[in-house]
Amino acid sequence: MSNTILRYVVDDISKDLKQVADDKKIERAQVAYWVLMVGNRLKSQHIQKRDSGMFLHTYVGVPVEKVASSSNPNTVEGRKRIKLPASIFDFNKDRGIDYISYWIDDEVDCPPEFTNKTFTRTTPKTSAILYMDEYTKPSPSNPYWYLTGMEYVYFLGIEKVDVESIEIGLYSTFDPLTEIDLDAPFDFPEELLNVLKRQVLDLGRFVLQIPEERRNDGVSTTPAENIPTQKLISVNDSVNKSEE
Amino acid sequence: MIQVQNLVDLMKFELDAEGSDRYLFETDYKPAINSAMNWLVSVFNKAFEQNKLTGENLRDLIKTRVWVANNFSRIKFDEAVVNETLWSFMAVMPQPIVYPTQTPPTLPNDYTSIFMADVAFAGSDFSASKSTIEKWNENKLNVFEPGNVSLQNQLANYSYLTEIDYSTDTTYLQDSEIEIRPDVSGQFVGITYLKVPTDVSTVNDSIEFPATLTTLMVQKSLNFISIKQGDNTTLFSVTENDVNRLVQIMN
Repeated sequence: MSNTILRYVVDDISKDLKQVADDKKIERAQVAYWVLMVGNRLKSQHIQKRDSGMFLHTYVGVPVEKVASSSNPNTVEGRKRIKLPASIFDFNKDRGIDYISYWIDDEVDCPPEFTNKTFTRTTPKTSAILYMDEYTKPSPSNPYWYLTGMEYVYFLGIEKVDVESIEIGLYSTFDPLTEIDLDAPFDFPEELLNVLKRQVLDLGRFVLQIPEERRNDGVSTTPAENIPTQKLISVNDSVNKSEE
Repeated sequence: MIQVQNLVDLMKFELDAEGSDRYLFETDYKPAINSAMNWLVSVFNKAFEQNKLTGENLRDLIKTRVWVANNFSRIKFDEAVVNETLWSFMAVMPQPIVYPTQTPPTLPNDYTSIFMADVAFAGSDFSASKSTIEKWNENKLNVFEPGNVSLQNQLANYSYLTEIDYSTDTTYLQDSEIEIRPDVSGQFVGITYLKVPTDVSTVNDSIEFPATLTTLMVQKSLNFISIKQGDNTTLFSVTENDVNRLVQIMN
């Protein structure tokens, strides 16, 4: 379990940016958003580099639905699918989904439920080829899944059996800002916290350098002596070019 | 607190009027002291606007009380009910912990907020920042601005809009109210406010300004007395200089 909670990270950075007073220019929600944004990038790189289950999240009992009517995009009538229980990283070959499995009572030695029937990944485009070979043909004992869009996973091979729910293992991104729990353990590699902090501080520093005059507050705060009174001339203007 | 008797004694000393009936409490000192208090309220108002003063300067006038917001997430500071005259709101604190622990009472109707005279404010994790009328609507859906309605979790960022009269003749019978966002309808809200100091009526009263303002009160009260003496009196110029110097130091 992580020794850090998101609140510590956000408050640490807010304090360093001197944005903790009532007239702060960067709100805590914005710092939290930056932390999640940079954190997702660092975490995805970390997961891709390591063969580790540290950030694999298992969801059981994810309900399978049969789509009643089509609507564009990504909803096709008659197909079985699940709604992803969490947002996932878009790794190569859909590796944000580590595994999908379901239980069917046809085994004698009773292996663990999640190893009973494991789905194999495919894509809509290559699905047709699967049906050309008896050994690859989708079936209840050899089911497939494919991802379309960011929300839904569709299945092949379980069309004629009653599968109520599946188990899925995901490499998921952080919860959205509107649902994040500041006091939950921060699901992030602790050895990368200093990199995260530095990158968010850089973001904050850049933001704080944006001049106040860029905001239209209806008030001119520029001292009169700083307002240019002479015509500004480009360095490329002919008057600034000298003959070689 | 500043004892009025103490102020009067110091003023008599500067006027060299000890043992004299030249200046009387009812006709001279009391109006001068009350005028000085009103003047100080004006000066402090300006200083507050410029964030040059903190609440510590007026600790005897700061109160925190608890209200229940109406169904429009608004609260009316009813001076008759609170029994104090409002000077300025200093902080609005949603989701307070209250003592004794209890749930908010049911609102009598949609538009009436309730002042909780017997409930004490014990703390809150939230503080609402003040918004302007122009920003109020624009920021409603901006997740990074105070007063947005998108964040309702621990990152909720409350804001309040200054007192506005939303009343109608028949359907919304209220006076000026502050409005708080995200919605706090039917919930407790702690409000820290400054009350206007109570006018002096007798020499045995106390003024609810801190004792550190005694000199300023003396000088300004004398300044008002000097106005009656005609222009260009020594007392006027001396006190005027002192008052200006003190106000500059405070700012």
